[in-house]
Amino acid sequence: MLKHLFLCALAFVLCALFVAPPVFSQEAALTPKNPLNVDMRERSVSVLAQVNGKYLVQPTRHGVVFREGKNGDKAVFAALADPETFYESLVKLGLKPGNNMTWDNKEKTFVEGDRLDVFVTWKGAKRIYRMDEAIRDSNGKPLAIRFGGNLKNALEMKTGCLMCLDSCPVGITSNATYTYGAIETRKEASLTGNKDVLPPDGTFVVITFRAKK
Amino acid sequence: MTGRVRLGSLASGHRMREMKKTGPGCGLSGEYLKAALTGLVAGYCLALVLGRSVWLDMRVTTGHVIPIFVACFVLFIRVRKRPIRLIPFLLLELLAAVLLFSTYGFSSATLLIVPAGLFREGFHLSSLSLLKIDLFLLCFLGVANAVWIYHAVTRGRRRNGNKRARGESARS
Repeated sequence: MLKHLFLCALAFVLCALFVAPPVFSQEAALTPKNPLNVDMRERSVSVLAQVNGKYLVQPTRHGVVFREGKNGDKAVFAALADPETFYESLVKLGLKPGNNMTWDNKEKTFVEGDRLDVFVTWKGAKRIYRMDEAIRDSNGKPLAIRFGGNLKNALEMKTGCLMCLDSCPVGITSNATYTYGAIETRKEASLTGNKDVLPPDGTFVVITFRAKK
Repeated sequence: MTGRVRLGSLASGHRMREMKKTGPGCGLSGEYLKAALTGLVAGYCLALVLGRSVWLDMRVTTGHVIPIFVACFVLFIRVRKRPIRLIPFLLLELLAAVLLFSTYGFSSATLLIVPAGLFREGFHLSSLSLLKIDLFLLCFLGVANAVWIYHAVTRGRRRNGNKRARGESARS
């Protein structure tokens, strides 16, 4: 009886190891020299980034930004991958960009494009967290991340934005829950990193953008 | 005209001597340090006020006002040669604390993250973690405050002692 129980437990552990999402294995594969990984089977792109402790307290409209971009120090996560490579990786997965945001319609239009599930994990994390858990919205609304596209604007502006927290004409991906200006000017919401979930400032994390199934 | 210039230079010389007398071992270099410290705290106050606006914080690096204020205060001391007093500095520190906690709420996270974050972005020290900057700020501000208060107290005692001695000599 005891032997059976032991075998069941062992089988469960082995299954859990194989079923566990691939980000844990990617965490080891991603390095500052190789900060981006495309998983064709999972239809996901993983990016290496660092937590910016400042935005665990202060509100921001930038979720993930390339650290060498103009807004590199304005985001909750400073990514080591650039927007162009990130955009190309998403296209390589067969995802379609919305490209519906312009400078004129940005305050009245919600970003379109293929929907993405975003996860974050790090070495020593208890589990893989959804981005909704890692970023706190004062209204409690979930993030609705979409592949906005906007490569032309991103290359022109050089902001480095990979994921904005409201619909954005520059970010490669952005949040369709709010239109542009909801956080900065209209104060409809206040978004910060969740200090109860995220690791301390400077910790390397792996952010995975996966095509919504 | 020449008289005015001469008077001005005399006044400046007098202030210089005053500055050198501000405390034991606290000469001109001490005054520059005090100026830098006051500039740092004043810069924090302004950065915290500016940081209240998310719009502004997303467009400019609010932390930049800190090195600018440090430079301005040091230049002010070099040009005007007026010593900075302890009480206004302590009031400025209190104001910075009030601004910090009223903006971001009273918590240990606020105290550990916001000042270090502003310092890091202001001085472009992105390679340093907030923890290291916290340790530096704690040591720098702690030691500087302690030394300044110690100097002010010993100076006050010395002044009282001199007054008493003068009073006794006048009576005798």
